[in-house]
Amino acid sequence: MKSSGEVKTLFNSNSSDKEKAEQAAIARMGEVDAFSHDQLDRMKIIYPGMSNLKMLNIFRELRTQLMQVNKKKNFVCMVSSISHGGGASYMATNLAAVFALDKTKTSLLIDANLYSPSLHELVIGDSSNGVTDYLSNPAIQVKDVVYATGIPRLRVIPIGGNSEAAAEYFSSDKMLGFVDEIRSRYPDRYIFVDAPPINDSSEARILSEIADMVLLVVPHGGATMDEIDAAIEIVGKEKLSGLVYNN
Amino acid sequence: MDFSLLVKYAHVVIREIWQRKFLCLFGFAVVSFIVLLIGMSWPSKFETTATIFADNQNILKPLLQNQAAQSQVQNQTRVVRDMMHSPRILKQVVESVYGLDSFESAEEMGQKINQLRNKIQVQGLGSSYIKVSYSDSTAEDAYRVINAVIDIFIRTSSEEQRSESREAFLFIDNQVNQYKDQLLLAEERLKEFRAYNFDGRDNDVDASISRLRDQIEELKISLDEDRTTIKALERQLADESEFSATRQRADVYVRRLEDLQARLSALLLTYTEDYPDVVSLKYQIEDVKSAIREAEEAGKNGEGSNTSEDELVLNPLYQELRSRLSQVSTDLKAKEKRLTALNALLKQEYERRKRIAERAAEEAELTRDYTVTRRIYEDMLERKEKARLSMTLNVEGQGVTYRIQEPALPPLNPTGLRFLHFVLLGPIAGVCAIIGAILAFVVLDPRVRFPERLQSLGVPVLAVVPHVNTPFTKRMFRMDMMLCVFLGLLIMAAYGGLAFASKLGVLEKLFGG
Repeated sequence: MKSSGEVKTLFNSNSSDKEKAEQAAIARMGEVDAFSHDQLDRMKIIYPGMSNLKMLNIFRELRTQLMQVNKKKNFVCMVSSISHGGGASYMATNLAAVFALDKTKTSLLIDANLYSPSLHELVIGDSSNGVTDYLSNPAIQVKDVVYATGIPRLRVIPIGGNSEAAAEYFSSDKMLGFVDEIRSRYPDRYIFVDAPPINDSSEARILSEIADMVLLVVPHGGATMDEIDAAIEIVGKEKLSGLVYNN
Repeated sequence: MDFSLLVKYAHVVIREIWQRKFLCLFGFAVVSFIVLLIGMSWPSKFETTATIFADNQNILKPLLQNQAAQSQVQNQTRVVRDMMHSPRILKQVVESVYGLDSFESAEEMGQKINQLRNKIQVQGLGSSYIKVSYSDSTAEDAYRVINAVIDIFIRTSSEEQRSESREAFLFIDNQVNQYKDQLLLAEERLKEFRAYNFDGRDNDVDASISRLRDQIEELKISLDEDRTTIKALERQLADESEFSATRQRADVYVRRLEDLQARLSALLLTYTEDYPDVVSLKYQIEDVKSAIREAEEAGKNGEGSNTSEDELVLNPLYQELRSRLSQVSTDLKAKEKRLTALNALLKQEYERRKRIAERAAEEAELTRDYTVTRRIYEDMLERKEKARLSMTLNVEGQGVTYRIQEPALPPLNPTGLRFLHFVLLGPIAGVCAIIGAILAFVVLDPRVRFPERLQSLGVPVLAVVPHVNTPFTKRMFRMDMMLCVFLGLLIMAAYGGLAFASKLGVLEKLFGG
C-alpha cells in the first residue's frame, strides 16, 4: 500500500491542481495490484520468496555491484544488448525489480527499445502514451507517461506510439531534461533504460550519452569477441560498468 | 583435457543440439540410413585357409649326405607364393573351377586371373608350414578355388621337380660323354709323342754328361803324368851313354879296392899289421890302386876313340830307359785318341740335352691337357652319379615335396564386416556424426559460448545469468521432448524395418525382380 501512496504523491505533485486527473490517478492506483507469483514466473521477473533463489541472489549481487560503482547515489543505467534478442529488456526489468525490492528505493524503467518494445506489458491496464509521445508532443506531461506496474515500487515509461523519429527525439535537449528531471526529483529513484542493441542502432549510442552507466548484455552464442570489443569501444570504458553474460 | 572443460563442452553441445533438434534428428536419420544402405550393398566375404607342409626333411637325407643334390629351398614361402601366383597355375585353376568356356574373351580371363592373384594370400608359418588363404563372395566358390589351387600347385611342383632332375641328369650324362672323348684324344696324343721321342729324360743325359766329364778329367791327368814321365826319361837317356867301357874297368877296380879296404879294416880289428894276411892285403890294395891309376891315365889319353871293340859293352840302364820311354809314348798316343773320342761323346750329349729341353715344353702341354681333362671327367662322372641318385629320389617322391597339412574347410560364416555390424553401426554413426558436427560447429563458430572468454576483454563481468525456464517453456520443452522421442522411435522403426526386410531378402523380391 505504501507504493500506491507514493505513486499518488508523485502524480499529485505533477498535477496538483487537476482534481479530475488526481481522481483518475487514484482510480488507476486502485486498479494497480501486484502480479501473482505465477504471472511473475511467466514473465521471468524476480520477486521475494521465489523458488529460484539462485536467480534472486544473482540479481541482488548485481545490485550491490552497481550501487558500489555509483557510491549509493541514484543513477541512470542503460541496459543494452550486443545483438538482437540478447535479453536487454529482461535484464533491465529484473534490475529494476531487484532495486524495487528495497522498500526505501523505487525504480523506473524507460523503454527505449524501438524495435521490440516490451515493457508496456508490465503495466496493468492502458498504457497508450510513452516516452516518444512525451518527446514529440509538448502537451503531454511527464506524469502522463509514467505508469505503475504489477510490481511494487516499480514504474514504467513505455515506448509510446510515436517511435518513427526516435533517434532525433533521444538526442534532443528535451530528452536530457526529461531524464534529469526524473532523476533529480527523487534521489532514491533508480532509472533503467532498456535500449536497443548497441551495435545495430544509433539510438543506443545517443542514449548512452545520457546515461550515467551502461550495462552490456552478452547473449549466449549471440556475439563474437570482435562484436563485444566493438560495443565496448562505442560505449567507452569509463561509462561501461560491466558485462552481463546471459545464458 | 580436464573433466570440467569436458562437462562444459558437453553442456554447450547438448544445448546446441537441442536448439536444432529437428535438423539433428534429420541428420541422424540420413547418416544411419546411409550406413544401412552401404551395409546392404556391402559384399559378404567368405575366407578359407589351408596349410601346406613343405617336406624337405626326408629319411634319405642323412644317408646320402652330399651325394645327391637336393633342391635347396631357402625361402619356401616365396617359392610357393611365386608359383601359386604364376599365370601358368592360375590359368589351370580358372579353367578347372569356372570351365574353359565361361569366358568370352582372353581379356576377361586375364582379369579373373588377376583377381585370383590378388585374393590368394600365401603366408609362411615357421620354416616349412605355409598358409594359403583365399576369400570369395560365396562360400562354395572360396572352397572350390582354394582346393583347385592347392591340388594344381602340388601336382605341378612335383612334376616339375621330376622333369627338372631328369633333365639335369641327361645334361650331365651328355657332358660326361664329351669329356670322355676329349680324354681319349689327349691320351692318344701323349702316347704318340712318347713313342717318337727317344732322347730319354733330362736326368739320363745329365748323368751321362757328368760321367763323361769325370772320365775326361781323369784322362787329362793321366796324359799329363805320361808327358812328364817321357820328359824325365828323355833327360835320363841323354845322360846315359849307350855303351859302358873304361869307365867300366876303373869302376871295377874301385869296387875291388873298396872291398879290399873293407876286409883290411875287418882284419885289423883282430890282427896286427904284421899279420901275413894283413900284409898280403896291403899289397893287394897297392896293386889295385896302381891299376886304377893306370886305367885312369889310359882313359885320359884315349877317351872314346881308342876304346877297343871288346871293351864296348851295352849299357843296361840305357836299354831299360829306352824301352820304358817307348812304352809310355805308346800309352800317351792311345790316351789322346780316347780323349778325342770322349769329347765327341760329350758334345753329342749336349746336343741331346738341347733336344730334350725343346721337346719338354711340348710334352708338358700334352700332359697338362691330359691331366685337366681327366680331372674334369672324373668330376663329371661323380656328378653324373649324384644326378642319377637325385633323379631316382624324385621319381620315388623323396625330394622336396609339398603335402597338405591342414585341408581347406568350406567356410561357414562370412568374415569381415557383416550386415549385422552395419545395422548396429548405423545409429552409432548417426549419433557420432551429429555430435561431431555440432562440436565442430561450437569449436569453429566465433560466437561466444563460454562466459570465461569475456574475462580477456579487460571489462568486469558483473554476472552470469542462468537460463530461466518459465512454466510455459517447461511445458514446451516437455512437448518437444515427446515429439523428438516419437520421431526418434519412428526413425528407428523405419530403420529396423528396412534392415529386417533387407535381411529377409524382401527388397530384392520387390525391386530386384
